[in-house]
Amino acid sequence: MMIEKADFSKLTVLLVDDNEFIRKLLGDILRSFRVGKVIQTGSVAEALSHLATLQPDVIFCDWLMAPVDGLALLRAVRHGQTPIDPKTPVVMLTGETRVDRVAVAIADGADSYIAKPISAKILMSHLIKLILADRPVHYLD
Amino acid sequence: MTNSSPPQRPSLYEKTQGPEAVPIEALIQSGDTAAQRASAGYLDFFRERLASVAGLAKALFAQPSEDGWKSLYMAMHDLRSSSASAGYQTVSAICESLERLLAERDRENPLMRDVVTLHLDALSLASSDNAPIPDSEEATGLIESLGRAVDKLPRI
Repeated sequence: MMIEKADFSKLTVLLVDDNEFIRKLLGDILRSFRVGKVIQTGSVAEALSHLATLQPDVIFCDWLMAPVDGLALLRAVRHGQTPIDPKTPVVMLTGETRVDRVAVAIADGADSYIAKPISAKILMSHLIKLILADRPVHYLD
Repeated sequence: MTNSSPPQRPSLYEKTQGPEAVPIEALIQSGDTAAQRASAGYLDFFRERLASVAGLAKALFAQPSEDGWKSLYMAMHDLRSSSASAGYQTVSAICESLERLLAERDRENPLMRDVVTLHLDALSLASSDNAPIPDSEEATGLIESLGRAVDKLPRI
């Protein structure tokens, strides 16, 4: 199944990246996609404080950050250590392309994985992948 | 912070379909325009970061430390991916070469300092108004020369 059209205006996206340029680039692209709410944070600590009061629809999170890396945020979400739905889609962003590193992120529950550089087309393809994976399932009686 | 009954959320599919839906191709075009606009000021951001990376390297060679090496590597990793996302391929390739040097080569080798400095000088040139044209002979030659300099150092 393909998606030809989308309305992202009801979505809330949390962006976590310590690089201010990448935050701006991703934020601007997502807003141009008409995403309703884009929250940008520069650290895992800041992201966790947002998650205390916010249920994002999607989280885009950089992997290599200091002092706490993005994998720690992914694990906290998946292990129910934050108040949000542990199944909230999380997309990891990184410059790493080594297969063993990618495998770690997938094993820890990342829904998708974007190896930088980032473009509008790549970002959209990952959003569509998440939407298709998060469809309601209707069982026949 | 654990919550025993996490909030239920509507599926992404349900939330993104409806009468206001816009063709995906149109959204991508709009995203490309936004990306070009965001990238327009990238070189100013890069030059500012490069100055702080040069400071990091200077401090590291004056007083080497594991944290210093890690910070330099992370800064270069960060600049490599952001410059590639902004469309500066020559800058990104030089960052990648320096990242490879820091990750794979012997830090104790006396050539290390010179090869790091060579990369920082190359980054300074590639982000200047006199930068070589991407994919030109000059740009390719610069990247190849840096690669050969990295290869002079033994692997860890």
